[in-house]
Amino acid sequence: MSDPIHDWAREYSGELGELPKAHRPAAQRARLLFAFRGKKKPRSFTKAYFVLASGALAVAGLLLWHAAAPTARSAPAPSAGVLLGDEGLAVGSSIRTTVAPTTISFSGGTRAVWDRNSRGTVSKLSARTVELTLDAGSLDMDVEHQEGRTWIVRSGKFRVYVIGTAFSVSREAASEEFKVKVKRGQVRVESPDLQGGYILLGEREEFGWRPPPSAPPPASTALSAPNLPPPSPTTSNSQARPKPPQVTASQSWQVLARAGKYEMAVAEVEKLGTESVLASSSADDRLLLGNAARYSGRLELGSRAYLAARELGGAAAPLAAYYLAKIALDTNGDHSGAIRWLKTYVREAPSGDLAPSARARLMNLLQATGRHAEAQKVAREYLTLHPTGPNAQTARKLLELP
Amino acid sequence: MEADIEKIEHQNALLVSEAIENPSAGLILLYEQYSRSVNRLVYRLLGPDADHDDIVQQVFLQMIQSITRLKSPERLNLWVRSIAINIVRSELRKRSVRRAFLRFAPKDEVTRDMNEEIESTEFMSASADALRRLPAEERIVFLLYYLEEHSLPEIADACGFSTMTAKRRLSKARERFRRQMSKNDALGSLIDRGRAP
Repeated sequence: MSDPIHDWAREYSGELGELPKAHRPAAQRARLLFAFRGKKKPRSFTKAYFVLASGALAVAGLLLWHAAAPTARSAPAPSAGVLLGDEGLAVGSSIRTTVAPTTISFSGGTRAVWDRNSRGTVSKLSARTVELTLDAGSLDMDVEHQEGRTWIVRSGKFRVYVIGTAFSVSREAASEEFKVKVKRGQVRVESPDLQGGYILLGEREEFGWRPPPSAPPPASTALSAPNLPPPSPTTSNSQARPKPPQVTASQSWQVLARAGKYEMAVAEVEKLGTESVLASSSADDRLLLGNAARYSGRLELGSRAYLAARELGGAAAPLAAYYLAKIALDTNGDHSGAIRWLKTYVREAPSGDLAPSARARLMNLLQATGRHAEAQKVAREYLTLHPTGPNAQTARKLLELP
Repeated sequence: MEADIEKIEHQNALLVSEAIENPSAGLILLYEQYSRSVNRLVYRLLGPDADHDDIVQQVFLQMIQSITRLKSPERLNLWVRSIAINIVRSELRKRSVRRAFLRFAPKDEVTRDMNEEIESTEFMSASADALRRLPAEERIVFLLYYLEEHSLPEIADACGFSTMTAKRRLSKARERFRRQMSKNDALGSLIDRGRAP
């Protein structure tokens, strides 16, 4: 007699498959990086205690509210007032304001203010994700960062992802005109109509979209409009800086890269045309672009920029060789490629800032690939040139020295 | 073979040092190396789930946050697996607590789209329901054993408890699951099939 659970497991495993049907690694990676950049340091014990206490109070309030008004959740929101977001609403709850705004306050301190004559729904509500859908009107969000919680505002075919920021989203139901204004922090706007699938908006930046005038006015929402013409995004920076013609054009890609906004810098370069940027850049800028591309996971673009930096020679050339070694090793585990580039670095900049690290990596790689004699040669060189370096112990071990 | 293992271990050591030196770049490298296996494991343990991407994201963020505490980089693969399992475990525990306290919490956080996917067949719907009824700890052990075909010592190692505990939890989960199977027509037919000569 066979074990029915084994039979079940075989059948279930086969039906389930290996990965979700809607698995999109590129989008997942982009969201991961976005979440990582928006991460704050772990809360201190005191703060965590405070948050726990606030959470307990919020739950108590919720239970009282729930007991007092069990039907309020499914009813339209009051014309003015405050709702407890996390627990007071359920997925699918609709929000409709008329003459006064309505605020939804969430336990972590996040507030969503629905302006007058706005309507929408709570489309997702879990510990990790809160998604609000704005059908018409305006929604002002002030998001307090919470570890592991993502906030999304959905409007038509646009999705605005947030980590910790203040911004507003508005949508004209009739014209489909969509607008995002960032007051603080950074948001990511996703739409299939955007080049590359998304844009990042920084502090005090705006993004607007409206269908081209030639398009007939749609009868329903953008999602259901067939053969929608290409969008006409407009962006601006409304306050401190002069209005830029495009989302990130207010800052050059170099400024963005130096500020650590690698993805934005790469997006800006791609907007300008990678080839033309590379052709008109100095060796240092090519190196900068290589680093921005590498840090944002665009290793192919990184390689191209580093190779372009090497073409111009100078001090950037050996550095580019060092980073090419890193890419060779990290992308394909290409040990021989990495060894070649590390040797190039050591030859071109024998006493460069990265020379101890390059020699150490070279020594390890040669040893790992069975080229012991060469590894020992590099180890001897390492001990001569960097006798107190962090890898001196490894070098001594390799040479069987005490 | 030994040289291959050594090469992988060496590569892992480099990956770990890169992640410590430059967490942003390290995160990308970790994602590129482990994206498929983490996505697969989370999916196999949770099934189709609205929070799948968020949970995978949490696994990688946890990795980069705690990579400095990884004592043996050669065990990187096992460490990654263990983080993924523990995050799914804690997610399941949180859900059961939420379900207990909030009667109106969404059922297992599965959105309508996902429900359509999982409940595409009566068998899958009944399976999801039976799994949902297992306590978090038992469900993890049960799925790692039956679906992922891990041995009890492997499960114990990944989950951080003893082999005896793993054995006890598996036995309880098996009993509960069998009871669920016998209550449901779609799953009960498997028991009947097992009894057939």
